Amino acid sequence: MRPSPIGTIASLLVLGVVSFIAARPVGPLPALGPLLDPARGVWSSVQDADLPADATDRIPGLSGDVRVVYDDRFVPHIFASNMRDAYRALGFVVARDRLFQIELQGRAGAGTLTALAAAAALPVDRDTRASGMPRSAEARARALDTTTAGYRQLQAYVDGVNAYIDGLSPAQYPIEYKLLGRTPTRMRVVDILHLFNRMGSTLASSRDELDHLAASARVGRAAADALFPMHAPIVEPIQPGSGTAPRFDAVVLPPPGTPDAQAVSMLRAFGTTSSNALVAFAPGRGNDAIGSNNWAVSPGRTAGGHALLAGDPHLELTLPSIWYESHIVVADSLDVYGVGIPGLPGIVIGFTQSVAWTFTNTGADVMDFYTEQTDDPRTPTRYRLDGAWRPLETRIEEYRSPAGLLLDTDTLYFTHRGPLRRVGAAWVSMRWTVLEAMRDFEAFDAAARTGSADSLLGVMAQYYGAPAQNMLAADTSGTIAIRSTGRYPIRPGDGRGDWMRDGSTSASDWTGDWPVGDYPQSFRPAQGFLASANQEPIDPAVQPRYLGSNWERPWRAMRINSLLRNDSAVTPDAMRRYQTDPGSARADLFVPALINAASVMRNAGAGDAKAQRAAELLGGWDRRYTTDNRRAVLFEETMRQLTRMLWDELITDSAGPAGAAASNVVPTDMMIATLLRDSTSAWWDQRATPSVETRDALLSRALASGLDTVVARLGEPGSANWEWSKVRHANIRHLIGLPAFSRMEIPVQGGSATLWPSTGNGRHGPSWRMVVELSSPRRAWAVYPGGQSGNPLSPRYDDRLEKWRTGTLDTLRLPRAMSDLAPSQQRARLTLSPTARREGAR
Amino acid sequence: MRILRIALLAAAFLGGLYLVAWWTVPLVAGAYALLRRDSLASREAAVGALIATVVLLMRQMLLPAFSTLLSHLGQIFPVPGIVVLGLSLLLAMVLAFTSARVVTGIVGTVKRR
Repeated sequence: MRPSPIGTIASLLVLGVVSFIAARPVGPLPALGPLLDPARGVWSSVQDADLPADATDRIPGLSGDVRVVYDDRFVPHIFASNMRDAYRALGFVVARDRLFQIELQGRAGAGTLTALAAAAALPVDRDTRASGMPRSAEARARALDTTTAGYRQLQAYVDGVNAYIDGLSPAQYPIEYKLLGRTPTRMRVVDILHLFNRMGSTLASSRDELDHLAASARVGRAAADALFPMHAPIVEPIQPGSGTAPRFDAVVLPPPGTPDAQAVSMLRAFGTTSSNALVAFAPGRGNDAIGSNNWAVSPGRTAGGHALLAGDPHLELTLPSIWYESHIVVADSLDVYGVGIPGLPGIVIGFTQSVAWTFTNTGADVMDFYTEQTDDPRTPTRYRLDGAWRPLETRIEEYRSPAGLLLDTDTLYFTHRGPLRRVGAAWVSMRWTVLEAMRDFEAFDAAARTGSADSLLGVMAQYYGAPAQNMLAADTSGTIAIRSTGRYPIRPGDGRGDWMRDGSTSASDWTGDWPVGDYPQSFRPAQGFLASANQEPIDPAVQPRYLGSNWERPWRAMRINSLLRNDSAVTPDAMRRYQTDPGSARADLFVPALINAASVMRNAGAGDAKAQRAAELLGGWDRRYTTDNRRAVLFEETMRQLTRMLWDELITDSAGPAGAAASNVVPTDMMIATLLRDSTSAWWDQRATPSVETRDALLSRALASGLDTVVARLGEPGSANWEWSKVRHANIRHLIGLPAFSRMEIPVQGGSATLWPSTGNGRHGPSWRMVVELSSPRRAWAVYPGGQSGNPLSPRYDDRLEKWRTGTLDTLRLPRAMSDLAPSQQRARLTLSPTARREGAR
Repeated sequence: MRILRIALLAAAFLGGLYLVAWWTVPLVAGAYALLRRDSLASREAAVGALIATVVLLMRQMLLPAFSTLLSHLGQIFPVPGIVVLGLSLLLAMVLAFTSARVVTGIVGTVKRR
């Protein structure tokens, strides 16, 4: 029986429609044909979930075979005969596990995410390009000396990544490419520089000028200066001072003043939405939980008689993790173990046979803004400097779709300082150390080949530029040392960088950089330990020069120092415990003050029953943010209410001459701690009430309000809903935010200002916990939230998450040769050769 | 004979899918219909495509990560993962069936003339 013509036409129509849907993306869905292809679509991703037990592969350019053995934690140990081969192999193995991450992060730094995610990524790319980062990376790439060993190692790493990409069949593309309907792009050396810039944008952005301006527009410059001070009022510096306890510098906060006319006028010129544009100028502006802890203990204070070092950088938590763990051995020249960032060659945090190192962010102010005069308010060609017009550099930025189609263009302008951006009716330029020449790769490369803490910090000071880091090192000779390393600009006049400067004069420009001798630093301290937690690194009485302002709160530093001062025989296990210590110096300071305030008010006959009840509840709290405690939630809510009530002059919807243009900014709770010493300060008064409040009245009111809020939200005290594990979570999102590949609502032991900090949306926190004992042989333990594989279908994708959650560390395998790893400790082997035929699944 | 024919057809689909891509399915089905010149060609093509797809998927289905994948796909798409799996099979069958049917219809029309 022949098909009828109608049947044929219907079939043709169905064939056409199905073929169209199969071949082209429809809405948010990728093309279904390639996605559901049984041989190379999404289904084939399961084949790469496990590493093959034995495989060989080819990397052109290798001088000989490189052997890689994966241990029982799936860490690749790379054994190569020279550095370039080692970097080629490193690029290959990192791409093998994290290819999509390498491309995504590189594109994020280059502002070319639209090529992966189409127009949805346009706003992000726009901000990245406007920050000047891609221009800076491209300029630095052009200036690289291709004859140096450093460049050849960069190229070797890129070659390794590309060798992996070139050998991939579509079936082997990471699953994210299949879901997005994209294919991997080969890597270039400039992508490494884009990634370095991205690190800089995460860790070296600041918005001090904006906070200062907004506060001035509300309460005047004198008050703003005091609320966002150049120096932390609680002095617990990284560079140890003579005291053994934090020093509270006497600070009398001037009362709220009248709005500063100049700040108001500037904010008006910027406009409401435009001030957001100015914030976007600083691309990675600080997050509360992007901080870090590190500490080291001298042999004299450890149980084993060897120096101990703990690293605990806090960054955005993602799956796959920001870090990739590896071990590189080059006979007679290199033996380095640690973590690096996929896409960046080398080990960023780790250790060799004789020295270990780790970083925390310094948080120095290395980004300044300047108001500029231009020859045209909309399409300028020149800017004014020292009374003369100077040409602006212009750059046309093109944004392209995955198919290469032009989505949009921007014209960017640059002064001699850096990128220029229109903010409302004003033009503002930015100077930022991240955009200027640096040799960070050489720093990491050289560091891995040093033999002592002194020489490691020496090469870092020589090469490393940005983002400034508190670099802590310890070595087998017993030395512990720290130096806040990076490029710190010297500004003219009062030297401060937390006020917007006049761009029309070159007298506003940076005049040089700090000499290394002036950096905050300490070598072999008498106290026998060193610790940093992003606090102001040096006592202003020792070094008053401006390094930054509005410093990270000192609570974590105070807690670490307290733990270390009270432990004269520190063990590696104690170091591990300290990393997740639930104690809080912040709670230790504020809870007694709150309880005392309730008591004072009761004795004065002005007590509030709810405040009394809240005080009793907090009195029964051990001030530890354990997952099972039921009081931390009340304390946190009380602090939130206190912040809202205390800084009511700063938190307004649209009142004041600056109107809505002045965004709400509030000082940190370090300023509240300072204010506790002045019980009648005008700041304690709430403008909205007819009475004049004192410290105790406001603290008592915050207690009552905190209790009310928590009861309304979670029920009566004692309810299981008050349990910290039900309130506070870590949320680890997949790189492109797919819920299926994310791990959300993980209960954590820690809260605001504990050593395991957890605040905000829970998407930042400890990204790598490491403890190293500088013994012979060395011993080390570590964990990070996630797993080595970037394939969400692999058991290696999140196999470390539970250990991370419970504060457990893995013992690291540290073979000096392949034969040092017992067969039971090996999970897979890979031989890379210049000519080998590929064998085994990839 | 018919079983052998379908087996050979499935092998052709398998080769196209494994060596080239999904879009070889309608091409192989069309070619088969052209050779077969019978109204049963479309049904046989659908069965052949189904067999080839199942054989290819079988390799993945035996791996432990497959159930994880199904679960993930169920969260990524607004349908359960098993439905996405069914869609893979259905897509191959529909492409094969309609392509063969169109070719059979055109060949029949030409012959009639």
